[in-house]
Amino acid sequence: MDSRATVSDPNRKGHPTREQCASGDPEPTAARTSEATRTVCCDQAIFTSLPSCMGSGYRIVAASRGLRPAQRQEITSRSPSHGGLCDESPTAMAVTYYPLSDGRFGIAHTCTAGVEHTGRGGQTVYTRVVVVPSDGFALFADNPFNVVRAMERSGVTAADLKPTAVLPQLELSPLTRDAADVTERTLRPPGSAEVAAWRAQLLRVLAGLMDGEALVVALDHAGLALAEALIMALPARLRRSISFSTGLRFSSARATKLNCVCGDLARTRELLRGHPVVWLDLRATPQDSQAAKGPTNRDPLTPADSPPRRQGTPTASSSRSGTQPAATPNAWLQIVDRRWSQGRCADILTLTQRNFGDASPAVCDRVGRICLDLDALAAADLGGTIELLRRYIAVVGETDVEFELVENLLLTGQRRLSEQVMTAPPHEAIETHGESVVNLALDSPEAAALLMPACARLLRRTCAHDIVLAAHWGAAVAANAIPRQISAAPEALSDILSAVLAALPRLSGEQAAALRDELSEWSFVPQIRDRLAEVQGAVDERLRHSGDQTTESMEVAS
Amino acid sequence: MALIHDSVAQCREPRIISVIGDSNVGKTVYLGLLLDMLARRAGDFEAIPKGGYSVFLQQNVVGHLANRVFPPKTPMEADQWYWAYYQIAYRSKNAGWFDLIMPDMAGEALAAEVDAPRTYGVIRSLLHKAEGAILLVDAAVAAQGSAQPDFFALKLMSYLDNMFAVKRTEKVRTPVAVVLCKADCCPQAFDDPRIFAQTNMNRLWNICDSRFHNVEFFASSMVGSLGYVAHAPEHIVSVPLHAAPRGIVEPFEWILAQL
Repeated sequence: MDSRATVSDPNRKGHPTREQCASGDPEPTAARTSEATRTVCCDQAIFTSLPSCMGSGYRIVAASRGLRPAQRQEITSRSPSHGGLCDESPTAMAVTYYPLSDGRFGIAHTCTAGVEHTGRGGQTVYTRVVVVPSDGFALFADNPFNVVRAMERSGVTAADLKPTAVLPQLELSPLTRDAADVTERTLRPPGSAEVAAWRAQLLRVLAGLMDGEALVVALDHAGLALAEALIMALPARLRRSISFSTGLRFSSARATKLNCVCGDLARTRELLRGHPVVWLDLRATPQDSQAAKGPTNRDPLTPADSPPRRQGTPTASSSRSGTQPAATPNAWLQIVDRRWSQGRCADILTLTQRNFGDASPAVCDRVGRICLDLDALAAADLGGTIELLRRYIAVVGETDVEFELVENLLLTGQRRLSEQVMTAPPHEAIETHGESVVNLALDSPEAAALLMPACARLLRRTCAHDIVLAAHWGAAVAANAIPRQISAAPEALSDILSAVLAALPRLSGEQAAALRDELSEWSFVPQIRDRLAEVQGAVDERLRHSGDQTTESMEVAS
Repeated sequence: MALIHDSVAQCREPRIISVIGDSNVGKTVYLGLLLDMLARRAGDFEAIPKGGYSVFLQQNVVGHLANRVFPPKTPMEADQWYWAYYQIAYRSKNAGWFDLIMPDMAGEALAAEVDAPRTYGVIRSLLHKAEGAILLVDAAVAAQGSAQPDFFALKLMSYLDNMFAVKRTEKVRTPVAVVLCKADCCPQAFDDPRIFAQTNMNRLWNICDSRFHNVEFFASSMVGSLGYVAHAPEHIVSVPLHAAPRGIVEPFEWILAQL
C-alpha cells in the first residue's frame, strides 16, 4: 500500500475548514488538508527570547492551540537557544526536522532576530516551528524543505517580535519546486571527478543513516541543499523517521540523527566525545585532500575487505569505538550513486515515494538490486536477458515497491526476449540459448504465461533452421504448456505442424523418422488433434516413400 | 566525561550543589565569581579545581567582567553548560575535603523543566541528587514591584518540594540558600534579607515557611556600579563598570555548614 495518505475530506468531522484554520479554532488533531485548494493547515509555534509579563529568556513565546503540552515539551527540547546557529551573521539560517510523538512532524526554520535583548552579546535566535500532520506531510512529498519553502512563501520565516500569545493555524500550500532540481544543482556537474569523490562521502552519510547511526557532517556552509539532497535519497518512510538539523551547532540534547554543521568545528568535536556519533568531514575538496594526511575513508560501495580508497579524501571517524561501515555494500546506495552520476535525481525521488514497507536496510538493498538488474536488462544480450528473467520469474516482491519493480522487470524482460529471439544470430538464438528459452518458459505456470509468446516466436524461427529441433521443443511445450492452458501454445504448435508439412518434401528419411518420434509426444494436445493426425499421416507417408526408395536403391546397388 | 572520570578517581561520592534561578538573574556571574573567590581562598576556604574544564567558568566570567561586559547567555542545551568540579576544605578546620560539582544551568532550561517536568532530564537528575541548592532571585526587579521573580521562585520551590518531600506532613530538609541578587540596586536587601523577602516576595517566603525546614536568605551583588549604553532607543545595554562582589561566599558557606 502506498505510504502516502489520501487527501482528506475537508468537511469531514475532525477536519477544520479554511475559516476555522484562519481563526485559530482549537482542533485537537489539527488535521488539515483541503482537497479543493490543496493547502495544509498546520499548528505553529515561535521559540525565541522575548521579555514578557510571563517571563524572559528562550521559550515558546507564542503557539497555536493545537499544540498539546507534550508537543510543546518536545519543541522546547529540540529548539536552539542562544548561540545555537553555526553562523553568527545576521543572515544566518537553519532548518530542523523531527517527528513528534503524536505522529505529526516538526519543521523549524531558525534565523536571527537582532541583537540579544539582555545586552549579553550575540544575536537573538528566532525559531518558527510548523507542525505538519502526517497526511499533509505526504503532500509535501515528505520533504521538510518543501515545507520550509512554503513557509517562506507565506512570509512566516521573517522574525515577528511582537506575536500574539495564541497564533492561528498556518495554511501552507504544498505546491513546491521539485527537490530533484536541488539535488542536481548540488551535485553538478555529475560527471566531474571532484563531485564523484564527494558523492562517495555523501553515500557514506546515507549508509550511516540507513544503519541508524547518528552523524555529524562538517561543512563549509550551512548545507541546506546538501541536506535536502541526502534526505531525499532515502525512502519516504525512512526519511520521515530521521531527524536532522542543518546550520545549527551540534547538541546531543536535540538528539538529531543527521547534523550538518559548520563554523567552530573544534568545539563540536569536543562535544562529540563520549557520544555514539560518527563524525564526517566533508569540507575538503578532492584537490585539497590529495595533499592531506589523515585516516582513510572506506568507500561505502566497497566491501570492508577491499583495499581502502586513496588517502586524503574527506575524513570520517567515530567517537564510538569499533564503529565500522557495513561489510557488504547496500545496493540502494549503488543505485543512488548511479542515478546521481547520471543526473537522474528525479528517478530517485519518484522511487523513494513508493511504499518500501518498513524501509529497513534489507528492503532498500533488495530494491536497489532490482533497480540495478533493470539497468542491466536494458543492456543485456540474449543470455543476460534469460538469466535475469530466470532470477526474477519466481520472485514475489515483499513490499509494494519490490512488487512493482519486479513486474516492471519481467514485462521489460518479456519484451526484450521476444525481440532478441528474432534478432539474435541463429546460432546464438537457437543453438546456444534456444533450449534455455524453452526450459525457462516451461519452468512454471507463471513463466509460461509470461514467456510463451517469446517461446512461440523462437519455435517459428527454429522451424526454418531445424524442423526436428522445433518439433522436439514443441513436444516439450505440448507436455507442459497445453495442460496449463497457455493460450499461445496451441497456436505455436500449429505453426510448427504447418512448417513440418512445408518442409517434409525436403527431409531425409532419417529426419522424417526423428520427426515421427517427436510428434508422437504431441498426441494429447486436444486443440490440434486433427491437424496433428494429418501431419503424422504425411510423415508416415513420407517415411514409406523413403523406405521404398531405399529398397530400390539397395536392389540397384546389389 | 572528564567530570565522571575525575569523580571516579577521587573514590569519594561527590556532592552536588545546584545554583538555580530565572533567566538573566545572574547565575553564571554568581557561580563564576564564587569559584574564583574560593580559588583565591576567600572565607578561609581552600578550593582545588579538578581539571581544566572546571576553570573555564570562572575564567569566562572574570575575563568578561574585566572587559566590562557581562558573559554571554548560557545556552539551553545541556551539553553546552559549564561544569565545575572542585575539592573544597576549610583551611583552619580539620573537617576534611568535599567534592563539589556545580553546573551552570540555563535559566530557560530550568523554567522549561519546572513548567513541564522531564523536559530536561538532566536538570531533574541533578536536582534530585543535589545535597543543597542556591536559589538566586532578582531582588532589583522584585523591589520595583514586579511579581515575576516571586512567581518563578515559587515555582522552583514547589518543584523542589515535590521532588524532595517524603511525606506531605514533613518539611523538606535539603538546605536551600535564597540569594537576593543585584542587591546593589536595592540596598535594603542587605539590611535584612529576610524582611526584604517577606515584603517583596511573599509567595516565596510563605512556601519556604510552610514546606522547607532548612532555608536561609542572603543578599548579594556582583558589580560595583553599572553604566548604560544605548545602541538604539529600544536596545539599552548595561555595562559592568567594575566588579565588586559582595555576599557571594556566605550562602555557599551556610550550605556547607548544613551538609
